[in-house]
Amino acid sequence: MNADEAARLRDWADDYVAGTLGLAEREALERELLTSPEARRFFLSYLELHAGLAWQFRGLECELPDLREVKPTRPSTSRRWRWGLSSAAAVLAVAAAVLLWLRWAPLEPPADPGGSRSGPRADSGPTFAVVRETLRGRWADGREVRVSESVGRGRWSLQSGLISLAGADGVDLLVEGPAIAEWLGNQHIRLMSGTVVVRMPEGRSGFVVETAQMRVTDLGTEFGVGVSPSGDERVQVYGGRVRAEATASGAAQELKAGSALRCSAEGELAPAAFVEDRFTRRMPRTTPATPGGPLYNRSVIESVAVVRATNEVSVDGQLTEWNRSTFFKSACEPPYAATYFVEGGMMYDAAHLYVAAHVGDPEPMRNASRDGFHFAGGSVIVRLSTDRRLGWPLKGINRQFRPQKPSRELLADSTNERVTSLILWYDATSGRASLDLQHGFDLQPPAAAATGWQGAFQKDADGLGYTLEYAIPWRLLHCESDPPRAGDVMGALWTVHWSDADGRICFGQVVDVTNQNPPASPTASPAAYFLIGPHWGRAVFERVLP
Amino acid sequence: MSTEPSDDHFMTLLLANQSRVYRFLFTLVPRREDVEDLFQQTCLTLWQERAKFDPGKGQFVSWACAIAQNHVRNFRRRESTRQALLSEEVAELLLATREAGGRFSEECHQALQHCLNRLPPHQMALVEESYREGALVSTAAAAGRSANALYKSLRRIRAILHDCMLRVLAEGSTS
Repeated sequence: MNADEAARLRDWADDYVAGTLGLAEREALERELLTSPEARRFFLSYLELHAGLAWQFRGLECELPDLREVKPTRPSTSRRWRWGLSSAAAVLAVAAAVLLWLRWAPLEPPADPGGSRSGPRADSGPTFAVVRETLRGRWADGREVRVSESVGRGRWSLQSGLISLAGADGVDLLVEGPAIAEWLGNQHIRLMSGTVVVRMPEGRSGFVVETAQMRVTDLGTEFGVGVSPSGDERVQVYGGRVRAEATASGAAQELKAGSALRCSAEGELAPAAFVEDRFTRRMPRTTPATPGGPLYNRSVIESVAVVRATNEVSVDGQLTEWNRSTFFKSACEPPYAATYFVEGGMMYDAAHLYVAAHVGDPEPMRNASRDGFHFAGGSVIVRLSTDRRLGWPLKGINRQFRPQKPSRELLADSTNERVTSLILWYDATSGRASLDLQHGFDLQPPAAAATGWQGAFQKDADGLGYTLEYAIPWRLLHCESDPPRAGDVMGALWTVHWSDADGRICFGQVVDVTNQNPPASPTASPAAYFLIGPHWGRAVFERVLP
Repeated sequence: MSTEPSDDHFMTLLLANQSRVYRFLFTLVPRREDVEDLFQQTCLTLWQERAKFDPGKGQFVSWACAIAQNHVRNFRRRESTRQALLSEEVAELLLATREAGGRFSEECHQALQHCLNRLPPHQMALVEESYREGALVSTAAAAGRSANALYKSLRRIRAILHDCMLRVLAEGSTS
């Protein structure tokens, strides 16, 4: 076939698809297709091109409908594919209803990350994937993730655990909680936080993972994308290649297997070290130490006493200087209350904040998690405001929840560097107590490495828990010249995470010391309270033992 | 003996094969809106008839395409006087050519993926916008160009992609 003949066939095919093919052209096309096998293959391959593009870039308005409520028909003894008129009409009526719904139902309003509607939205609407496997997976609305559950349109939030999703065309996704994501199409997800590993079947490519700062397009490969709570984004390639493009600048890089890239919260791409185990690539085959069940709590505690330290505190994990009667206790919902709990206390003096906790944990001190996700492998996180001007309740909120043009006051409260998150965890790899600091509700890392703090962990004698003790200079909380004093009431929030036996996959959490009557604020599940100041409880700085 | 898959397994099969069914429909029916409708109808039928699918008797995709073809036959009967469809004879011949080609459709699809990955970003963006929107007019308005100019650009890009596909198919490799 020469170039002119090829161009003419393509023109006819384009017109045919567009519905503008004239009668004479249609007859000419048919003559050619009837007589020439080469023309038929050429024409078919061009239709495959149209079909492939249409499939790849289909919008949200028409996807696989939710079919689970449609009952099967009885096996027929008549001609296998022939329908009765009534059943066909009924099915078409259902189809029409589904189509109408799919085309005219308004899109969900932007859902709250980690919000109360944070399970997958496949109960009515298109299905993009089904859950293939789950390891202690729990949606942010508290429901346990079920195998074969459909995941559909809209944002969904995996609070904890690890789940494997089977998507269209054989794509396999491994999502590690906590994660917030949204399907945008068959081959397209948006990842707001957390990590996902995408594996394409042999010969397939084109899956897109979009983040706030990047668009990562797979070119036939296996790759991981992670968005840390502070907004740090990474892509790492395990097989094949991907193209990473910075949304703001348009700068693009192609990455090969064995390479990694980092995108800062400001949208700058930079090479990053390839760390093989940065992402969880396989569903662990080990059985969890304890079976099933979501680990979560219902917060009833609003305040924690911060007691004046009257003696020098020796940071050794023994808690001999502590009066435990001032501790609060919070536990996971039954049947896990006796196994997964925290007893926490706080003290202060002119130079330090002291934190102590006894944590019930069948897999204690195993944290082997990765940069940006250290909390996931087992941790205690204490969040505290040390700026008395902010008062209580706090007003600051994370950028995900802020209006596009926040007031100056809201922005100042939200980025106040005297709001600090202290992530306390035991690094099983080095065998040392560790501390990560983040500032403001945007969780910014400190400018310099934290020094001058002390921390100690002690494993329970029965191996079912641990005790931690920390002394943290006020300097690290940016208030050394004006530390909290007796009578201050500051915003505070406690979170404890538990993990699997490998210290990597978050199995659940307790969130407590929360505002029991929060003022109007973005709706969110407790898992996202740390991003929303009005939900924080109180730290009451006491003069003497109450 | 029949080994009937569970609903969950059936759903997984359906998800994994839906693009094949969709592309199959596209080779029989030209207008995208019709393909979308037929695809939805086919999915519903597949689900309703799932008890009849016997994995022991053949591949899921073959069974699914047979059901899709049935919908197309009904569609042709309804629409033949209104639409400029190719004659039944030609349609049957195209189907036979497609089937005789073995993995022809899959190879085309893989070749297209290979070629899309090599498309310059601005051309890729135009293709994506046009096919996502489903209407050139809105894409053109957003791009500040006339629909006609955009249509010509899109035809050129499709020709580039098609040439690339044919080259890949001839070489038998997407590496």
